[in-house]
Amino acid sequence: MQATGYLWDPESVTEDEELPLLRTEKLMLNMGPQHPATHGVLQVILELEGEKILKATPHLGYLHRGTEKIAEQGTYTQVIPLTDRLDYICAMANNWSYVRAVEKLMGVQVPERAEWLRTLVAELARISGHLFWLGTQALDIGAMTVFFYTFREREVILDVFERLCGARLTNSYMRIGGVERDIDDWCVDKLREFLSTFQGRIEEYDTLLKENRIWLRRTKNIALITAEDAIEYGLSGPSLRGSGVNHDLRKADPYGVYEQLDFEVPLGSHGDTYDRYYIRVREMEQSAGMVRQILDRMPEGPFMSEDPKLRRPDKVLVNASMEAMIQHFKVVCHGFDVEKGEVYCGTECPKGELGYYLVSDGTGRPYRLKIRAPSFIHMGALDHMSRGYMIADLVTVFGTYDVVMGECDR
Amino acid sequence: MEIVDKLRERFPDHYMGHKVFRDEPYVGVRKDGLRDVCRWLKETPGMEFDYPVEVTAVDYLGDAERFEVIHVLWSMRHRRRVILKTRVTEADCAVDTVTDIWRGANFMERETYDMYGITFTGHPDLRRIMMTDDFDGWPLRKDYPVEGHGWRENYDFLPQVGD
Repeated sequence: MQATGYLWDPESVTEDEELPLLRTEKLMLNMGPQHPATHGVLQVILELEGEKILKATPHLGYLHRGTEKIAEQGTYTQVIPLTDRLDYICAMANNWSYVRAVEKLMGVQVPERAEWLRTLVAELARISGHLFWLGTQALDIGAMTVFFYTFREREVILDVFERLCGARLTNSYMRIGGVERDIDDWCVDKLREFLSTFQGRIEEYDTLLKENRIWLRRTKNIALITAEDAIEYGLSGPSLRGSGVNHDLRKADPYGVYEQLDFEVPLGSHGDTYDRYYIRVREMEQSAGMVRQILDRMPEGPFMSEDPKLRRPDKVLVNASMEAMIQHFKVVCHGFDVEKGEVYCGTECPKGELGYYLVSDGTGRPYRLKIRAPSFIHMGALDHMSRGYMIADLVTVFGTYDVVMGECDR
Repeated sequence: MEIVDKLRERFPDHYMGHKVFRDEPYVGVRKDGLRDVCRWLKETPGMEFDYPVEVTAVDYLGDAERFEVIHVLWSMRHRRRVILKTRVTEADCAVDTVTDIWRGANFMERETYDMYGITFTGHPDLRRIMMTDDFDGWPLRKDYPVEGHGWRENYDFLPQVGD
């Protein structure tokens, strides 16, 4: 018999002879919780037919830390560091989302410069988050080089954050009523230097990936989702816009100074992994443009609300006057009371719509703080989006949501 | 507000009062009518709340109707939000699912069930999602202690020197 590549010689089979049938059955395969490509600890139970995924059941909760329960115990200010630990890749955006919810409930007017600074750091966080995503997604798929390049650029942003608030990842930069401190010339110079080279860097990533045949084969037509399905599943951020849905809270429900900035919302058309990759890269360009506009146009002025309820008195005064010391003690230990009420406030974070449902019972502690984490909602669509693809594509599907398990499990 | 007026007109029996806060309506809906209201909000032209933002609950310990289930919805076309609030009692701790209206509500309802023990009738896969399957209790209820209970209480403590 010649070596034809068949298990049997097709010519030797006559018409009335039955073909030998291979026994097939469904296979259950456990993936995770400790898997290098799951971006945290996530377990997925796969139902397979050969290498094809019939069903993927995510098991969440390995990183559940009870953030919502802990938030009910502390003052409103003490919740800010907890929000850092949700999506630790872009903590600035989480901080902003939370303080906006409290400010919306209280009706606090934030000074203009604070709004500009917040928008600035949120856009930097978006660039840093998307750089991280690009590096890790490429790494998961097998293109290792991109990771080194994106982390080089991300380092600059983290340096600026470190200078600005003393921390690189868990920033806690925002305060209810403003921001912690003002930006200095060092940061501005560093950012301008960064912006002068960043467009060239993006082109570098494009040369590595945009028309790379392996990248195209691994991302085109993988994890497809139609616009209707994406909306119904509650996807948000680039995962939703990749399907061509023009939904961006920065435009749809403007906050910060986004109304005064000139930017576009990049949209995909097919709803596949490649489209989501492409618009994230284009979003980085838009964010860089916004950072440039903010650095040029940011007005001078106070960066923290003058409301004595929210603001700690100056340290010099605290040491000199009894009243200031009492006020300092009051603000730090007791915090401030928030009028009875409830509010939902959503913010466009790098991963999608991060929302806080905040209920106040009139005391100084949140009665209920519900965090609408985009990563969690995206995991709800995992089964729908991975059916029919190969096991190797499952890693692409996680990656394309930009999932961070710290945020997913809270 | 226009949404609230229409909703009250269409469902006079299910409407339970409303409040407008920061230009967003928070509408109380009776438990029996929740599904009808949700379906109507999604499918009626002029409403089209096609995007499920959030399903969650709040525990008002001490109230006659202890839990409040909250649905936050967003309309892509009209770019506005509506928040539905439904009260349930502890004895009859169940509301109808909206998973067949918005598939994304599946995980959100599972999380609410996991944290509060509120059953979503008709949900296709109502299991715990954050806590382990054998976990006892509903962690986000107000009468659940922050430090948890159960195995911690059974610790043996060494006697202190000098006791």
